[in-house]
Amino acid sequence: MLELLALLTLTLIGLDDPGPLPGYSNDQKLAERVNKLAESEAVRVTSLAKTLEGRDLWLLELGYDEAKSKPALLIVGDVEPHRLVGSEIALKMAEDIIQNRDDPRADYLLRNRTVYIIPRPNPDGTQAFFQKPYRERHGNARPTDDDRDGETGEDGPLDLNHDGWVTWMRIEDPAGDYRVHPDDPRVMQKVDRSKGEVGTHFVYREGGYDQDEDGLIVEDGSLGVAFNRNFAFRYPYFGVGAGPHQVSEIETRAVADFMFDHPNIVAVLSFSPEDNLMHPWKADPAAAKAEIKEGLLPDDAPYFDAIAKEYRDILGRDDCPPSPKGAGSFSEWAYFHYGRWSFAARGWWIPTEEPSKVKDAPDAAHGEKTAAKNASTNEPRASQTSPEKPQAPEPEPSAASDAKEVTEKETADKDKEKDAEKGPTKTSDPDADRLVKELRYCDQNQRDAFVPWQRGEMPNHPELRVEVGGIKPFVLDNPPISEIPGLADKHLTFAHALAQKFPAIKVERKEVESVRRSFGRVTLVIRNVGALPFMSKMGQVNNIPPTLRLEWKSSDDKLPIGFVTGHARVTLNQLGAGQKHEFEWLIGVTESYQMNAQMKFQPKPKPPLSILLHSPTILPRTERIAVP
Amino acid sequence: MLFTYLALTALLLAADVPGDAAKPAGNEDQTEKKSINFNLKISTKGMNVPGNYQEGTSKPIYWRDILAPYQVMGAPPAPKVPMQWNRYHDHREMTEFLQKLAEAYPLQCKLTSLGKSYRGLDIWVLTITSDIRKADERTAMLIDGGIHANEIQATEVVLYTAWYLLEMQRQNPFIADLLRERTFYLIPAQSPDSRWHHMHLRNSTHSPRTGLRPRDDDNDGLFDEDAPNDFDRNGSITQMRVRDPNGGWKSHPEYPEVMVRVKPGEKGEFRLLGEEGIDIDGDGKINEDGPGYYDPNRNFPWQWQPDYVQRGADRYPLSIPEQRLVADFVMAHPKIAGAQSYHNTGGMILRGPGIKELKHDPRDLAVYNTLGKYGEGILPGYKYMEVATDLYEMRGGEHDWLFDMRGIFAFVNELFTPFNLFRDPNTKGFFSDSADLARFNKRLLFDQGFVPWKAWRHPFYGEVEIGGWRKEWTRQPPSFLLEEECHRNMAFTLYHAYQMPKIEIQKLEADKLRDDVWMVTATIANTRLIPTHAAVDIKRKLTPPDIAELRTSNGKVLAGMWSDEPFFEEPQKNKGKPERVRLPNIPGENARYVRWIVHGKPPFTVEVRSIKGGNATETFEASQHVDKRSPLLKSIFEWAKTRGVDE
Repeated sequence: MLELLALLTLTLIGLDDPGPLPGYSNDQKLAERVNKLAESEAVRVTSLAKTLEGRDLWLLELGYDEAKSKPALLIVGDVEPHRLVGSEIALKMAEDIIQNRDDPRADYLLRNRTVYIIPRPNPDGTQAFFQKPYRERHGNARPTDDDRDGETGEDGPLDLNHDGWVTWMRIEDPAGDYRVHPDDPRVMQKVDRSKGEVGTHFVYREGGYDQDEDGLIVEDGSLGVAFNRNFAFRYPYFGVGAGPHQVSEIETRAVADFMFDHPNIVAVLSFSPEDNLMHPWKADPAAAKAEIKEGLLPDDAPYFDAIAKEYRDILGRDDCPPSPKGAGSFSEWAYFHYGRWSFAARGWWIPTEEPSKVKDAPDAAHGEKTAAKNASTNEPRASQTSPEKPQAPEPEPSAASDAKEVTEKETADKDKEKDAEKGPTKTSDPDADRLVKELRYCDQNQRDAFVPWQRGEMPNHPELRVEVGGIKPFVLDNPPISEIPGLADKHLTFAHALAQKFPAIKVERKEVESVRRSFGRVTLVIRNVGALPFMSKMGQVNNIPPTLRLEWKSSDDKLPIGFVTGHARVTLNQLGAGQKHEFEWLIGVTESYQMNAQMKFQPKPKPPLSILLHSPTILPRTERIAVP
Repeated sequence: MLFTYLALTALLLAADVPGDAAKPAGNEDQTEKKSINFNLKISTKGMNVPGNYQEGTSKPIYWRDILAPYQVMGAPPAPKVPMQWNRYHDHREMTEFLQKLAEAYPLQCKLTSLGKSYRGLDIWVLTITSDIRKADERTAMLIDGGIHANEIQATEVVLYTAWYLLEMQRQNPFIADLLRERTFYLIPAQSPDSRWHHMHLRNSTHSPRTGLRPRDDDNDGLFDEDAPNDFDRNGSITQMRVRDPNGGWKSHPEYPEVMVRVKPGEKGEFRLLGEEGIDIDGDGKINEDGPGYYDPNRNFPWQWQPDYVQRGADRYPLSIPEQRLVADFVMAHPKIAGAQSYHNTGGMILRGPGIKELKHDPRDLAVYNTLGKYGEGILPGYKYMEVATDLYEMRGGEHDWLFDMRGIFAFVNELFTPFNLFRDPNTKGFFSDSADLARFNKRLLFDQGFVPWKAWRHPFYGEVEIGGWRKEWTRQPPSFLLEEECHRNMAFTLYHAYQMPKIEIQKLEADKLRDDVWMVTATIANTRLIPTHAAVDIKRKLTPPDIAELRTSNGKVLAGMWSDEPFFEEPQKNKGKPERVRLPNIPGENARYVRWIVHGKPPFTVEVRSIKGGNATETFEASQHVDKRSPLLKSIFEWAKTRGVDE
C-alpha cells in the first residue's frame, strides 16, 4: 500500500519531469510545438485518436493545397515509444520544412508532395520517459496479463535501489546463462555452452522481485500492448505486448485506418529498430512463388537497395547495430500488407566504429548522384535544386560540435588502440560486444549510462545472491537533444531525395488519325519518368489502388462516340521506372457506325472531347488531354 | 406455481368446452383471463358440469377430467409472444419481436444493442437465463446468425431458439434446468445492413454476402460503381443467356428451363453470360464492382492473411466494425464456453481448423466428435465435417477465432440440405443438382421458384434472354420446411449448451493428522462432456487456470497439491501460496483431487472458481469429522513435523 502511495506521488511529480535526457518534448511541449506548426497555412493538424490515458495522437499534414490528391510521404516517429529520437527528428523535420520554406527541399515537398507526419504514435508508452522511476515501456496503457494467469500486473519491475531508474538485475547462479564480459566487467555476456563457456548469472533486463510469491521473478509487469507488435504481418499470436489480436489497439487502428483512407501515400518512412536502410532487406526469390509472402520480392529489391544506399551516403556512417526481424511490426506491415515502399531507420545510434573505419564523407559522390537523378526527372522544381548544394547548406552549431567530438574521439581511440593492441574480444554474444563499445563511447562523451552493480536482497527469496545495476533505460537509444537538428536535417535531405523518386508521368506522344471515313484511331504514349515504378510488386500483389486511370470525357458528360477497341475508362496498374505504355482506341466516327444500343455515334462530336488522367499517387492533380 | 398451473388449465379448458370453442387459446386479454381463473376454482372441486353431459353416454364427464387442448409436441402451445415460423422476418420485424420477448420476460432476458451497423441498424444481442441478474455468473453459450446476410434462415433459427427457450421454460423441466445453469447470448443478425439489402433490394440468393461499406473491387479508383441490374424488375437478379451453338450449354431434357453443360458429342444451344448487368462505368467489364466487397467471415484474427491470400479478408483483422463489436462482446464475456454460428447451405455441421496443416489436439477432437455425431443423429441429411479437409481451406473464420484464440468449442451449421427435398438418402452433393431443384420447384412449389426465360435487348450483347432461380429459392427452405430446420438445429445447440463444463465439489473430507494438523481433500468433478479448458486453451494459456482455494479462519495452510487420481500417487505441487491450488484443467466427465495440509481447526471452506466451468463452494464442519488414522496419515504427519509444526 505504501509503495502504491509512493508510486502515486511519483506519478504526480512525474508530470513535470524532464526525463532522463533533458530537452525532449513531453505531451505538453509536443502539443505546443504541433499547435505552433498549425499556425502555418501549409500545415493541417488533426488528432487521429485519443488514447486510453486521453493523449492526442497527432497527425500533421504538410503541403500547399489539395493535400489528399497529391502523392504523399508518411513519416512516423517513435514506433518504439522509448526511442524518442524518432519523434524528435520527425517533428524537427516538420519545423524545418515550415520555418525554411525557401529551402529547395522544403519548397519541393510543399509544392509537389504531401508530407504526413505522425510524430508520436504511442504517446502513452512514451510517457514513461517523463516519469520516475525511468523505465522503458513498449506498450500502451492497456492493462495486460502478460503471463496469462488471470491476474494483471501482479509482478512487475521495480526500482529496487530507489535511484529513480529501473535498471538490470543479476542473480548469481551456476545454472545461469550469462557471465561477465571479458573486456568490461560492467557488461554481462550470454554464454554459448557449445563453445565451452560457463555461465555464472541469470540476468533480468528489468529488476524486481517475486511480489506475488509464485516462484517467478518479474513475470507480469502489465506492459501494455506495443504499437510495434500489434500489426498483422508476422503477428506474434499470444506474445507479450502483442495484444488480444492484430490491430486491436486505439493507436494501431487509428494509424492503419488513416493509411487505408489515404491511398495517395506512396512511401512510408518510420523510425524503428527494424531498420532496412542501413541493413537493406535481402531479396527472397522463394517469396515470389510463396502463397504468403514474408520476404522481399526480387522485383522490388533494386529500388530498396538504391534508396538504402542513398540514405547511407547521406548519413555518412556505416556502424549501425543489426536490425532485428520484426513480429507484428509497423514498418514491415507497411510493405507486406499495406503494399507501399516502406523504409525504417533507427535515426540515431551510438557510434561504435573508429572514425577511420567510417566511410569517407561521400558528399561529392552524393552530389553527383543527386544531379544525375534530378536530370532524369522532369519535375521543374528538382532541376532548380541540382546546381545548388544538395545537402544541408550551412552547418549548424550542433553539427560543428559533433565534428569536434569526432576528432576528440578519434585521438582517444587511437590512444586506446595503442594500449590494447589485440583489439576488442569477440565473444559469442555480439550484443554484449556491442554494449562494451557503446559504454566506452558513453565514458568518452560523459554520458552516464551505467549504474554500478550493487548487492541487494530479495524479500521473498533471501537465499538468492542478487545485484542491482547495469544499463540505464533510454540513454543508449536517444542522443543528447543537441544532436536532433543535425539528424533532422539529414533525414530531410533523405525525405526530399525519396520524394523526388516517386513515379511521374510524361505524355510522349498523342496522335489522332482518321482510319477511314468512319473510324478514328487515338494513340497516347505515356512514360514513367520517375525513379520508382508506379507501384511496388508487393503493392501489385496486394492489389493496392490506385493505378493510373484514363477516362474519356466530353464537356456535357455524354460520350458521343463508340469504341471498337479500347474503353471509355482504362486503368494502368504498373509501369516500371523509365518505361512507356501505349494506349490505343479505335472509335467510331460516322453515323452509320452503331456498335450498340447505348453508344450511338453522332456525325461530329459537338462537345469538345478529352481524356482525363487521374492518379493520387502519381499526379498532383487530374490532367486533361484534349482530343481534337 | 400451482396457481399458474390452474390458471393455464382454466384458460385452455374454457376454450375447449363445447359451445365455447370460438375463443382461441392464448389470445384473450387480461381481464377475461382473470374471470376465467375465478370460474376454475369452482370447476376443480369436482362439480358435475351439466353442459358437458351428453345423452346416451353411461358415464358423465367431469370438468376435472377434461384435459387442456391437445398439446402438440415441440412448439409452446400458448406463447406470450406469438410468432409465425414459416416465413422470414426483416430487420424491423426482428427488432419488434425481440422487444416483445424482452417485455414479456423481463426477468429472464435482456435485449441490448452491441452498436450500430454502417447503415445505422442495431446489432442486437438477447441475453437469456433463468435470472437475468445472474447472467454474468453463468457458463454461457453464444449463438449467432446472419454474418453472411443472404443466408437468411440463419437469423430465423436464432430467433426461434430465443422464443423456444423463453416460452418453454415454465413447461419443460429440461429447459428450466438448462436456463438455471446457463446463459445464452443470441445475436440473430451479425450483418443487419445486408440482411435488409437482401430482403428489400434486388439480389440473387447469393447476395449480398459482403457488408455494405464501399470497396473498390476492380481497383479503378471508383467504389461499387458497377453492380448487377434487375432489368425485368422482378426483385431477383437472374441469369443472362444468348443462343449460341458453340456456347457449351443446353436445356435439361426434362426441365427445359434448367441449363446443363453439354457432354462430349452433344450440341450446344446457349452461352451463359452471368448475372443480369451492363457495363455501367464504361470500362468494358460487366458487374465487376458491386456493393462491398469483403467477407465478414474472413475478417477474424486467427490465421488472418490479406486479400491476396484469402479473398474477402479486408484491411486487417476485425477491420469491419460490425464483426469487431461481436468480437469485443465475446472477449468481454470470458464465460462463453460454447458457440454456434449459422450459415447456409448444404447440411453441414462444421468445425475447424480452416487450415489443413493446423490439426486440432486429439483430446479436443474427441469432444468435437461426440457433439458432432450427436448432431448428425438429430439433423437428418447433415454431415459432421472439418472445414479444411472436407470443405475448403479458409482463413479468418469466426469459428476458428472462437476456438483457437478463445478456447470456445464452436460449430458452424450450414443450414438446409438437399436431402430435405425428397428425403432421399442417395441425394448427392451439398448444394444438390439443378434437376432436383427443378423437380422440387415443379412438383412442390408449382413453378414458384423460377423466373421464366424472357427476351431482353442488352446494350452490349444484343438479343439475350433473362431468367433463373428467384432470390428466395435454392439456398433457403420454403415455408413448410423452415420450422423444422429451426427446431432441429436449436436442439443441437441446446445439447451443446448442456454439455458445457459444470463444476461441483463431489466430496470434501478432512482427516486429523495430529492435534491441529489436518489433511483436507476435495474431489472436484466436471460432470459434463466439455473440459474447463480445451487442450488448445491450456497450450496457449487462453483462459486462466481453475482455482481451488481453501479458507480457514483459524489456521495456516502448510501445503497444497492436486492430483488426477484420488490416491495422490504423484501429486502436483503448487507454486506460490499453498492455499490457492491452480488446476490447469478439469476434463469433461472427470475429476481432479485437491489436498491441503492445514495447521488449524475446522471449519474449512473450499471454493472452486472456474471461468468456464462455474463456481462451487463446500464447507467441512468440525462435526463432520470421523477419526480414522492410518499409517499413511502418520507418515504425512512426520513430514508436517519437519516443516516446524509442533506436535
